[in-house]
Amino acid sequence: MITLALDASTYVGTVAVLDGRTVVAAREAAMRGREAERLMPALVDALTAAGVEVRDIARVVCGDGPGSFTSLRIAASIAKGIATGVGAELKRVSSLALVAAGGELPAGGYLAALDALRGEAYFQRVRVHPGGEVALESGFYLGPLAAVAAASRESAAGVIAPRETLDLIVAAAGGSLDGAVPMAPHARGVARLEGALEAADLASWEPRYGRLAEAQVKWEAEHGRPLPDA
Amino acid sequence: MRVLGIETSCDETSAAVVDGTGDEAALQSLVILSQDVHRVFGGVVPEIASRAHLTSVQPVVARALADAGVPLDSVDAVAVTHGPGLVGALLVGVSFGKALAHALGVPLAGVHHMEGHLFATSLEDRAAAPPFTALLVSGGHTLLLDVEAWGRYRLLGRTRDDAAGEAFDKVAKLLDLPYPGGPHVERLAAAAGPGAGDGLRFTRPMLRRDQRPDDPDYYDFSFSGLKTAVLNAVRAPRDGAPVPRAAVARAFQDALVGSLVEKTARAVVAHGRTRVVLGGGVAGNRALVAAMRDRLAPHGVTVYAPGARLATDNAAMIARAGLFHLERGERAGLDLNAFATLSIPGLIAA
Repeated sequence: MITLALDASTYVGTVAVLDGRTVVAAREAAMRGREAERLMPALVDALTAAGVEVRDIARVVCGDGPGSFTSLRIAASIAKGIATGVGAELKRVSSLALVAAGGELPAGGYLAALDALRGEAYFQRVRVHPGGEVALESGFYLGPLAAVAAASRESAAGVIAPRETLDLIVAAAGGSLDGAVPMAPHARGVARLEGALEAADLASWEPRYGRLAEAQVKWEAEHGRPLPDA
Repeated sequence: MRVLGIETSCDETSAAVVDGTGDEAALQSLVILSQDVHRVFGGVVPEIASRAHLTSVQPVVARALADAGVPLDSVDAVAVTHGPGLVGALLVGVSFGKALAHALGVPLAGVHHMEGHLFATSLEDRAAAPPFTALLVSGGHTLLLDVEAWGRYRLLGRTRDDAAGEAFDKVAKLLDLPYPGGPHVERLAAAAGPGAGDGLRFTRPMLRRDQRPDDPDYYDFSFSGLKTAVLNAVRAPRDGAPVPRAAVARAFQDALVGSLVEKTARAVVAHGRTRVVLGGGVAGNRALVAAMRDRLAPHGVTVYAPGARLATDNAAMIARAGLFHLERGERAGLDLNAFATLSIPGLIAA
């Protein structure tokens, strides 16, 4: 079965083409281009490199966030467009899990983290099993950078995060943090996350953004009730 | 050619199917899903709009195909709005459209939203075809163009500050009317009856008898001063009594419409056109359409205005404009991006 995987929870989008659980092609794309949108060309490039026709895709797996709102939506929109066009099944997967599964890590427990801006990070406990399979051990949290460092020390789970985010967490921890490893989320990690994939409704699915829209937060705080029609 | 259009530039998620060739193309279906959530904010919240588009785009496309009675694999091309508009909102349609076109193995067209409005009325009345004078009036734009032919647009004038629809929304707020304000102001103005009520009259913005065709503001518009005039009228009671809100709405609408009509008439005369085509949400204002017809009919000019569904942001006009570009052999690449601002393609020097 051919799986198309994509994730854009950070400013680097990633694509992978899998045949069964074997990654046959992978690509990366900057998500901040002003003149051109690069994730879709990267996807086509990956399919070409894999020697796979788009109609051969049986399953689309998309990073489910949390992360950069706009980038998450670009990936999700592409995932929905491909799945609609070829009649493929749509699945979602935690982008934090893709941090752990996107590279090589020794077996053990980790805290995967992604930048949430404003001095905060999204983080989630993950476990890398012997053989490389990755499993989620908690839901994700949103908290101050220092809280990620504190959780790491308390649980003896090393923080894994993209380099820039890791630097911020280490700085918040006072300049050093045992077990910290720079790791970025990558769609190829879907090969190690079969058990963590969840069904996504083609119509109603949206990524877990991690935060509400700022205007919604203010409105709900002001009115003391959920935003109607949201 | 059967074109699937997708529009997500602001707070309407829309999809449509247009089939045919050139000006003979026919609208097969149109689905527009408006996001009511923005009413409580008094304006569109980009992040909320973008999120709503993502959960609407696939079902809206599916519904448009079902309404047209055509299967997905019978679509010959996809046309999608790629600007101007809210970038986050546009990116949902652009990304979905690109992926869908690639998955179907069909060409893709990126369409300028305002060029789409030029084509909208022609889907209802094939006589609304070039050459014509175009007045595009919406919440984000006020453009006066001479359209020699499809794809050849001469920009004559534009607003220097607020767009016409934006002015309606701001005045609605001053009059304690809900968002979006256009229909509410129009209804309130109608209640005042003719004569602008209570003798209240606002100056027609940027409209002077001594203006010459080579003056830089001859065709341009400005509505921010008119908004200030409304504010002053609302705040300053006359003879100790507040000015009736209906009178203020009527005076505002008369001034705005007067400016739009006279500048359009100037363009019609200067370019010898016999047709005027209106587009955009404000083109649904009955007072504007009536005033335009009253002013131009004696000169043998026919005014074409879109129906309500084609006046608002919609994917039918995007599919039709996309068809035009596709028939010329134009194709968008898979790196097509979304842009907040974007020049209309085919714009020629005034």
